[in-house]
Amino acid sequence: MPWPTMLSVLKHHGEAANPELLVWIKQLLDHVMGSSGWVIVAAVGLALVAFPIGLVLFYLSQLRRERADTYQASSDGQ
Amino acid sequence: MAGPVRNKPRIFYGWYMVATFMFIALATTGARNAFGVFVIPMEEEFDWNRTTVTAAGFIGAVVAGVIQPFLGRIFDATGGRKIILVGLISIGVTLILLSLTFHIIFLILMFGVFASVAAGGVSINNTSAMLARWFRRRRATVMGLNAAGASLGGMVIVPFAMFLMQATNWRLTWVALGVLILVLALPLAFIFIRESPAQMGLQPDGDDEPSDGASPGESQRGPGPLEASKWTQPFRSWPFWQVSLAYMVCGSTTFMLSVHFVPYAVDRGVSPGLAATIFGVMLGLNVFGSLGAGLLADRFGRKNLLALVYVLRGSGYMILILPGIFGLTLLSGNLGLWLFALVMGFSWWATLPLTSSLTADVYGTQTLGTISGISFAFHQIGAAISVLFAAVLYDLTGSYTVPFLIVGILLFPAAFSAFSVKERKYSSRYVSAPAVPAASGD
Repeated sequence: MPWPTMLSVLKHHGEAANPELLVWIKQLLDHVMGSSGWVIVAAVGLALVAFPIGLVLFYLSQLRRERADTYQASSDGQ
Repeated sequence: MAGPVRNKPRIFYGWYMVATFMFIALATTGARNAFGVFVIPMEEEFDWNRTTVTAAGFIGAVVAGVIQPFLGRIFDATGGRKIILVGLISIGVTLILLSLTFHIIFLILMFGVFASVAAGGVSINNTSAMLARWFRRRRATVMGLNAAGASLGGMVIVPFAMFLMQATNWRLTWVALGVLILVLALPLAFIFIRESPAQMGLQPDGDDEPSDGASPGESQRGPGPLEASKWTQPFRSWPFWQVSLAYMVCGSTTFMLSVHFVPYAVDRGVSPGLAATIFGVMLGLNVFGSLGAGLLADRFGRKNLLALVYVLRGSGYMILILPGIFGLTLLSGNLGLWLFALVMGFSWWATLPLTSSLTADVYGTQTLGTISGISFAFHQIGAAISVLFAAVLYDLTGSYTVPFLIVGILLFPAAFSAFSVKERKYSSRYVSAPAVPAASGD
């Protein structure tokens, strides 16, 4: 592949996400939300932290219930 | 005295795996997609030009495609859990190290090579291959959920990185993305990932074990006629080539679009802001497309739906291009772009759960990581060729009409290729269940 062609491709925004596009999206979000950067960072950050913690807590609560069910069933069987 | 009675779990453990993989896909895909956010501030700080910085992203895409079959092989050989954990640690550390960027070679090595290899370990190919062991009846649905997690990653993590960077700086933002993976995704993976339901004494889909003499359910069905115990076996059968070549066209049509859509829309006279909005809507619809495709595929089968998705996408390209050629003013304006965004948005990620579940159904799960990795390499080859091809043709003709038209037309043979897969003959979904012999001697 000739190098000029490669460079031509890179000029066509070969990165994972087009930086100009992201700037426009950010302007759009600023316009829609009107909040400061920190508010959005905190809200998204909280959601990101809440998901795994929530999943683990939910799993533990289910585990506890299953153990209680098992205990109940074995007591009934006695 | 009666021993303890072990009840069937209220919630099948596989669903915790699905939630874990969705979060991993969200965090890792989002962090990689956020690279574009860093381009402008890094350019400004180091006085790099755009071509130099984007080389890291371009190399990353190539490395991700090339490495996937090898990582898939390691995945199959080791069972999967280890490579996912190592991949998460590596990608987290690499993202943190990116905060120390001081030279373009460092950026290319860290993002283009190390982060891409690490991300390959936790790729959707590998996580879907593991989910295929946990689910048979709902295989496409869970693969659709997994893909939706990746799609959501772009929508959640990229704006998060944007605003964090606005509030701090690009170095801290890289650290935050790395910490997100190491502190949240890694522990979740460590806690929940189990390589197969058999490890926990469970059956796929959480079904009951077949009782003696009873007819087994769908989850206990036998292997399909092309079940592969070696990764080279699929090369000698038609479905692999039918699916992979169609997937190659899929890669060419999505990558060409992600790289060239905004410049194309601007060339059509649309404002950059509107072009970005249309593109954003398209990305948002991905989530519904992958979820819907998964749900429908578990109900109606994979290959017909896959063919339908390719036809829809091809029709979308025709809506985009043909009105301009034939002078249909109504569709050659913004309406055509919006219609295209609608069709393309729904079909963008829909191919992933359909292709992955069809591959798993036909070739089984023993070597699925490798086989899916090779199919993905086809996808990336199509992507690389199409992006280069569109750039060259744009330079030659001064417009995107010809390359868009060509890839749009290619979608119809791709649809035929998917449609011609003999799913009922080869898929384990349609294999009769082997009868379980009644216990004797009792």
